[in-house]
Amino acid sequence: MAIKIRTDKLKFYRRKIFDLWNTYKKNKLGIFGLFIVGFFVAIAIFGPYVAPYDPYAMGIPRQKPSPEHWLGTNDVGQDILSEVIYGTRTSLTVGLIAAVLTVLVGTVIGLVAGYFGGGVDDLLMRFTDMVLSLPDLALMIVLIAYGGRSIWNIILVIAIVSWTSTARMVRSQVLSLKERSFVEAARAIGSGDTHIILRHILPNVMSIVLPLTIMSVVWGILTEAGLAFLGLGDLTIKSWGTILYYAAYRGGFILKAWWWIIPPGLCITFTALGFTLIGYALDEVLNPKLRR
Amino acid sequence: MGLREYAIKRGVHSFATFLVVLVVNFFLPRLMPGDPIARFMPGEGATQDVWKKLYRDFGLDQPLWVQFVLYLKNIFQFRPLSGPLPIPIPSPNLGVSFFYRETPVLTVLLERLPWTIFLFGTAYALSIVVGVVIGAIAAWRRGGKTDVSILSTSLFLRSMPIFWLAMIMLLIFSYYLDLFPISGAYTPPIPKTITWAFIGDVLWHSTLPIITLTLYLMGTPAFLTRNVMIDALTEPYVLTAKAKGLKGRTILFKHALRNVMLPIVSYSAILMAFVVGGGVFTETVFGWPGVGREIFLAYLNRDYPVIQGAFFLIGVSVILANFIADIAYGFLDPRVKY
Repeated sequence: MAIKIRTDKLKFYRRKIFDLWNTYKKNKLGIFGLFIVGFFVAIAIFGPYVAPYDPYAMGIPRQKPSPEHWLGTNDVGQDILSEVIYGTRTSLTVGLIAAVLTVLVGTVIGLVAGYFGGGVDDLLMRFTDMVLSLPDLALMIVLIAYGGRSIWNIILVIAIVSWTSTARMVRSQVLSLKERSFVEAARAIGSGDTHIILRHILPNVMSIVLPLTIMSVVWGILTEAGLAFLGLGDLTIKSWGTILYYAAYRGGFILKAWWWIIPPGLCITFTALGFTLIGYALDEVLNPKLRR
Repeated sequence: MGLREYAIKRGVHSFATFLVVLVVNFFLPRLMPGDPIARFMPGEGATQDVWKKLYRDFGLDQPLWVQFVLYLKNIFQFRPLSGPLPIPIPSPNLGVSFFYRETPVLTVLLERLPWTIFLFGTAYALSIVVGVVIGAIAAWRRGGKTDVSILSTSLFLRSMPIFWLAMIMLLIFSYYLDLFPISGAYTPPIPKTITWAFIGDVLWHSTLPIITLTLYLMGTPAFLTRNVMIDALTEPYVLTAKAKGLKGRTILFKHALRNVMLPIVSYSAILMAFVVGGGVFTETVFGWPGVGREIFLAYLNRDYPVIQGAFFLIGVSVILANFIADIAYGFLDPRVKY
């Protein structure tokens, strides 16, 4: 009996995902975004097999683009193309982990504040407002100046400054959800708070949480690049931001080395654009009321 | 609730946030590993007098709570303003910079502030004007070619990291075309009296940073305006205006555009954080001597007091801007209920 219910449920979800995909498919920009992101994810995964050189191996510095080095070499003779390819993995990983962490914290706080209301809500929301009104970048610089610039610290710092908008949006959604009749019905048959939150509220909040996660990836990738560019990144690991940091301060400009400056930035821009398009498309599919 | 009670409520909230900034600023350096005293002390080149003064001002050998009291005392310091109206103005003692030997942090930051305000004030005003006009045009031609190209361009601009946009501007216009200076805000030295030649020189230096910032900033007002206008254009009063036979331009800019004021005001408050501190990227790339670049330099030089002072200054500006925006809301839109 129990197994039968399981398979029914599985069928239900499979069907739901299939329906969503059918709607998503019609969104041309969304598909374009998927292609862009898919391309970079493939590079991130297969990077070491694609890259022509070891990006940490040094050779003749400051070479112009040539058949051997398509994008030339940097100030210590590392192959820039290989650097960019290896950097994909760092940028995507940081963006994704930071986004998941951001949304996780924001969702938990939003759920708790919205569901329990009263003093808990007041306390959590005042706290959120305060974090929200602290200046992002200055706070991040202070935190990194004192906490160090390992990749994990950077992910943590990004999450610390960016969970607030998720918390606010989830909370406002929960406020309206908890008054609906299905929640009342669940309570009437004696369901506990945890059960109601996890089984009835959370699934309904997912439609705003998923697009938010995708948008947080964009923010995470751009922030990581920005911090790395200021020299606040983990400079021992290749990332698009660190390549640009070295390009700016180790002669990229004087050499007029477009091959050193343009490619990493284009990668950042297109990855961010790809995720943004997916985010918009997902939002349209999951929240059809917003469709114009 | 009337405007006065609302203002008081927001004021109390703003003050509470200000206290949080104060507490964060105090405890962060003391919670981190390492010697907190070393973070306050200028290098070996500093004279004994400075050491003694810092110890006295901040009580670095005292227990933590005494330090906190002293810290608050230092923040809430007022200095009488000389002149016909002797008003005391706040002049927080934020410590002494490591890097600029024995210069008070406040002095360092206030010297940089005018440059930042000039750069961002100009770019900000330009981006709002250009953004609103572009957004309005996009809304009027919704779905058309103009609209789509405006939307996709601003989407692309918003996906760019701003420091990269700045780098490309610098690479093309300063290095390849040699049209603009590669760094700084003026050709030194600053003349004793401000001359037209000096103003021209500053404008020449500021062209690239202003264009970069304007391009980067105008996306949001353009989007905001477009969305608000599309809603507004379906409202009955626009239909009335059309029925009266008013020109399209009149309807667009006189009737529908008023609705954009509110979101733009709250957007400008968010932007305030950017104006004072977020310029770190642009200022760093263009070597612009503002607060943002100073934060970057302070990080490079491990000049902790300056980093903290900047954080304090930016925090206060953001809180003030949010407060003002909240109050301005009430004046701009009579429909707003507190």
